[in-house]
Amino acid sequence: MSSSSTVAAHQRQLKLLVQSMSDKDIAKVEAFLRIGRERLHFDWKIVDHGELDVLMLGADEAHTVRGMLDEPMATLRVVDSHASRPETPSNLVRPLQYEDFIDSLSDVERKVADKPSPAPTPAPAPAPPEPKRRADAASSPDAACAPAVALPSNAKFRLRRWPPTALLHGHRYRLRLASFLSACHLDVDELARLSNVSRDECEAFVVVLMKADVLDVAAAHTRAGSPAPSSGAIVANRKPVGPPPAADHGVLAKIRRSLGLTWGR
Amino acid sequence: MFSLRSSLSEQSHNAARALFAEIDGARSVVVATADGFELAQAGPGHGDASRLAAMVSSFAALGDAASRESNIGTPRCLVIESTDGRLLVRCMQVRGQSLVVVVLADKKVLLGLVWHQLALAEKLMNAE
Amino acid sequence: MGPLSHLKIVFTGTAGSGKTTAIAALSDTPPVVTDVRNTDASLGKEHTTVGLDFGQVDLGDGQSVRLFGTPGQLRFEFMWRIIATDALGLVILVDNSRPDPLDDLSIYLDAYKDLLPTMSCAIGVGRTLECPQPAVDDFCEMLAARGLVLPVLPVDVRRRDDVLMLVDAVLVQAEMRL
Repeated sequence: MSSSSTVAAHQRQLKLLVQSMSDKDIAKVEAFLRIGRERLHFDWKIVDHGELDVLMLGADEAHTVRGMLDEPMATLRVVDSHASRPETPSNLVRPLQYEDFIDSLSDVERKVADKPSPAPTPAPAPAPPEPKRRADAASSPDAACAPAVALPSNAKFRLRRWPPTALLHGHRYRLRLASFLSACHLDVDELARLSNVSRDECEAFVVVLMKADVLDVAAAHTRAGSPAPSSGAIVANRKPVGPPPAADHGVLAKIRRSLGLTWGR
Repeated sequence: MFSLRSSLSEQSHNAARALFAEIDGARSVVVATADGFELAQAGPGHGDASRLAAMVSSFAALGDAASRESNIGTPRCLVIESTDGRLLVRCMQVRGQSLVVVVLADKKVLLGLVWHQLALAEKLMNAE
Repeated sequence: MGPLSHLKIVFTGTAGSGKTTAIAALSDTPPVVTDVRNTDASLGKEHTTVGLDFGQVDLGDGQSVRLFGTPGQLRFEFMWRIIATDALGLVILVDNSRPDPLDDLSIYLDAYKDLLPTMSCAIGVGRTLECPQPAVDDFCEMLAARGLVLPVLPVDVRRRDDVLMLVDAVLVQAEMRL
């Protein structure tokens, strides 16, 4: 999504109507929307009438929706596991799963983003500014779209603390990259080589982490085995690590293959 | 569930005292639930009876897993033969509940006598 | 790390946090389970692990990774270290529906504090959808206060992919330790 459409997206609301579902499932949907707020690009609202973008249906047939003139952009059917049909990928299977639900809404958001944007809905009055922790301030997944931060040349990076959850959303490799950066100081090239993630993606993520102030930056000559960085707290002196010998990689690679944890770009 | 422990408490104490009295060479007796809670102890023993109860329940559970894996039924007795003594463990069913009884004993203790006394204790606990 | 044939990954955490489930999700063979009838009313479970859980992932050529699960209750703490000795990595599972999940995690961090400096570890927090507090970030803050940089992930151990995310995080750290 380009930054201009990103700006438009945040002003626009998408409407979800839930029909023929149990109170428990509805409560789950409300919880999923609350938790997924930072991962979704649009402001989702549950409605009970009028025009809607997504219909979430817990039965085979939909009832008439008061005030709905056009078909919704998507209908998500909620089915029991024994009833799910592989040929209908828009089915969500009970018990409702957060990832599947958010992925479905993300698909709708992508379709919406590809359409010409309507006149923007007036944005609600902004909340008074609140003091935020530095980690929160850059915690939006869109932080990487902000003006680029020049990384220090020849620098190596290591996490001083595990990043806030919001920084790991939005890209499936971020967890892996963070795991590498938790273990030792790496430069962007090393991170890309070890993780099999593109250099651009590695660099973008390092920028995000730097802006969140969760990275320790060390000079290029720093040995990979240097002690963990201190941020004022007493730091556990974890065993120094260095570039792994090629022979031992073999066993861990076998474990990955056996578990289906192989990495592709 | 908690009432199980309290309902078996008196019987367990009686059994522990009787076993300690009858087994020549016993240093202590601990009666425990299968999930590792101490129900009763008799004799001075050594160390914390509640820790021993937890350890022995693990030991018994592993013995049960090994027995099932080997297709030889459910374990009745287990022995830890150490340089300075023995731990003799009996897995019991008392009124439908699984218990584990461990006798900490000298090396000189007669194993046959211990097994006999433990079997008798199980019978008596079920009869009470 | 010991000889390659002794590769093992240990799953630990409070009773009910999903250790047995996590191992069953990965194991190639039906896991060995040492569950017995629970007599602790506060646990809210019919059965509980008192020995260990055991599963295996076959690597071929006679090699395997052994998956061990520890019993959760504190009275079995003696088993935690025994099982975790020489492990490739440790996964600590936390049940966010318990009264004080942060305190639960601190118990395991204390129990393993001698091993953590040299052992790969990842933390999985379960039931975060039903019980969003404490937030995953609260666990990160707690770890940071202890000077620990460990992956913390919200997981549902009934989903194999979630368990694999934890194992992936452990393997990444292990690769950097070789």
